[in-house]
Amino acid sequence: MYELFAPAMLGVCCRYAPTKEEAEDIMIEGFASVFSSLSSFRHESSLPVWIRGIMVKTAINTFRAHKKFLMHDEISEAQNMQTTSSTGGDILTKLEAQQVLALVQEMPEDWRIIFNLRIMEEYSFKEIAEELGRNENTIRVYFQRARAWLLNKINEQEQ
Amino acid sequence: MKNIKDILSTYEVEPSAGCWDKLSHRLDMAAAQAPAEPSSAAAGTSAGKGSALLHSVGAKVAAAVAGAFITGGVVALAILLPKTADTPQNEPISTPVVQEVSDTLAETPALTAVAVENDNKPAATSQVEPTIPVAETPTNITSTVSSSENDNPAPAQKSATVTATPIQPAVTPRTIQPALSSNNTLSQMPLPNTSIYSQNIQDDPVLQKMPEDAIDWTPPTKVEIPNVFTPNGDGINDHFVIKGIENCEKRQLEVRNQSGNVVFRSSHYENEWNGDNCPDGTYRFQLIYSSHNISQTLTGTVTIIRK
Repeated sequence: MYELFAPAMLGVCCRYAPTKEEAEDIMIEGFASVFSSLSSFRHESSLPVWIRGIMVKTAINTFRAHKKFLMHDEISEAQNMQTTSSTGGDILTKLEAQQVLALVQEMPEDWRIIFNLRIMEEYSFKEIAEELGRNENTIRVYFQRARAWLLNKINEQEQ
Repeated sequence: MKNIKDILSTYEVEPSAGCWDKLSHRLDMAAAQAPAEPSSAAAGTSAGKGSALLHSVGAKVAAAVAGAFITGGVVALAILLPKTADTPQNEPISTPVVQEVSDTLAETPALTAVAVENDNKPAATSQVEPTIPVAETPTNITSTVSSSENDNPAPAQKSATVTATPIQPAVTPRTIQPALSSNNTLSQMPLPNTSIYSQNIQDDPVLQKMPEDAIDWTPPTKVEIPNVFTPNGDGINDHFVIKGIENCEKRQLEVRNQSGNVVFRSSHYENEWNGDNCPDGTYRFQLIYSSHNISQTLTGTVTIIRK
């Protein structure tokens, strides 16, 4: 099972971690959870979806462990920001997966995880706020910034 | 231009060489701490990979793991399917992706019924079971194999005192691996190592009790279900066509929308559903089909796009 899913799952973990080594650590930990909770898998979803979910959760836990003391609530700043409606529009690009991934890995860790949860796993801002234990507005602000930064970088690369 | 989500979703990369060892080590450590079922055979595993954990967690794991292996060819495609079964709107949908994801739903429950004994699902998937009981020879899963022909729920009650033994399924995937690269369905996968069956029938109390033909298995029923269709009158994929359904005696299809309401139902599906009165979107289907008197249920999602 490991051999079957590892490449794809490592692909998932790579977008959460800044380097391949850290991504592998997340993946290994994820698989350890997979194997130990395999017996309680109740098939509410298909096997690969379940495994991927575990990878994402492992990535979130890793993030939480790293970021216990950082990431301040920026409530006042968030109130000043106009929360525009373009919080989740699709980004289109000609870039290849490798290039996009490199940009994602370049992001600061906070941005990266919010970006991933929002765009790739399609969590709502509320859900992301709950998972990360932060204020929802803070999440929105960070996501806006991450998205703007990424769009900028993509445009640069596409020139 | 492609959607950033789709670009990243398909990204795959081989893990570096040390990963499996680290993982295996972790599993062994976890197994050492877990309250173990008598794992007297721990020393004797041929596979050795993560085997200690498999022992202590018991047959449930082995069954599910083996299930994943056997259905490997099917599942390989599933990784690439986005979670919400989106399809890009800006590409012409002329070749629907074959959706075999849900096969795992059908197969693994039958396997876990062997070991977990909670479900009353009949041992429907004959193609998978023979591997398990044979591998764990000194156990009482006799009824599982023979009943796969009779479709009775006995295996669900059989006490799965599946004490750990050399778990053969851990070895078989090595042979199944080559089949994963192409667009495979189950029936194209190489059979599990059938030489196991012929060895030592005399010494094996389990094999002794099995009727000669119980070990034979017919190739699994193969159906291919698209995950999208486009009823827009262009003559291409205007209907929800399930390939292989013609070979099935029973074919009940039920489709529901996101709210759970039934939008289509047929007790003898003839690939006629055209999504009438169903707006574009994703629906859930349940297909109960049977062939050779073996009934299987598949569930999954299908998306209607008319653009």
